[in-house]
Amino acid sequence: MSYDADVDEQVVPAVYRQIGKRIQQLRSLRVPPVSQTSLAAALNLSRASITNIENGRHRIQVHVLYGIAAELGVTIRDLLPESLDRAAQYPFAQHVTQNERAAIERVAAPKKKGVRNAGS
Amino acid sequence: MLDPRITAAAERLLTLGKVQREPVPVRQLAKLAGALVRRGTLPEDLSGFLLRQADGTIIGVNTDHSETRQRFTIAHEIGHLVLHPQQSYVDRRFFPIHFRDQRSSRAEDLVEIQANQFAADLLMPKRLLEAAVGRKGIDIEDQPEVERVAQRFGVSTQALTYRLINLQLARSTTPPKKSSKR
Repeated sequence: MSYDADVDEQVVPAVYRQIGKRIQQLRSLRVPPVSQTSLAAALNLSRASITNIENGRHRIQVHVLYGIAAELGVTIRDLLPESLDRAAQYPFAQHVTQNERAAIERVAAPKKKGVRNAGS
Repeated sequence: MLDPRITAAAERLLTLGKVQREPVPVRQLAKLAGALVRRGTLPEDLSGFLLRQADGTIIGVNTDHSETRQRFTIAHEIGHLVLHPQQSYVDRRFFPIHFRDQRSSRAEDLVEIQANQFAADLLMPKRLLEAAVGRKGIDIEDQPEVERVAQRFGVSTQALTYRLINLQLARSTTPPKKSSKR
């Protein structure tokens, strides 16, 4: 069993969730907002497909991405995350206070100095 | 009730890490499971966290806590990593949850219970624990003995006691308080 593959399994869905979220944001930012229904109709998709794309359950195909970008009046670049970086974090299962989040970010940030966690 | 699927998951990681004896090298196993362990100070009630991000998964551990607690925290977070996809976790307290009834628990509690079981399975593998205390187990009221075994495994006496009970390796001989002849 390869553990690298397992990590990828966690990383990959995050990208689609981010794209989906971006679509949803841009859709609601239009004036007037573009509904899921009208976006679906324009692309010849079902409303459920749009829902699935937006929550990242469906891994969007490239031509659909172009279609959505065109409908929303943006480029596909506007829909894609810049990089696979920390913005793609998975949300916490529990409520986390701002104070806690700051501490977590601090501990999670790469250390400047040498490696500290050696040993068992 | 111990979930055999969770035990199996812990056993797979132990096998992968070629762990033959205690104390289980939990930090190495974290790496093997695909997480980077980072240490640091967190608010007092936070033991640690599992932060999943696109460029890698980080297990954070509160270094203000005792070594045994840190080890348990790391093992617990590996549990989330292995058992619970697609979310990050922040972990406050582990043990009180043990006492709650699994059936009446909320889903949130259930994942914590599962991560706790994984941690116990990982840090105190049945095989190694049996080898250490014998098939008949030990008297969990024999403090020095519990302490000794806990130290060998790098766990708290509390964690060990739960584990011994769960594995039915706990002999409780309350009655004759004075003569602990065993």
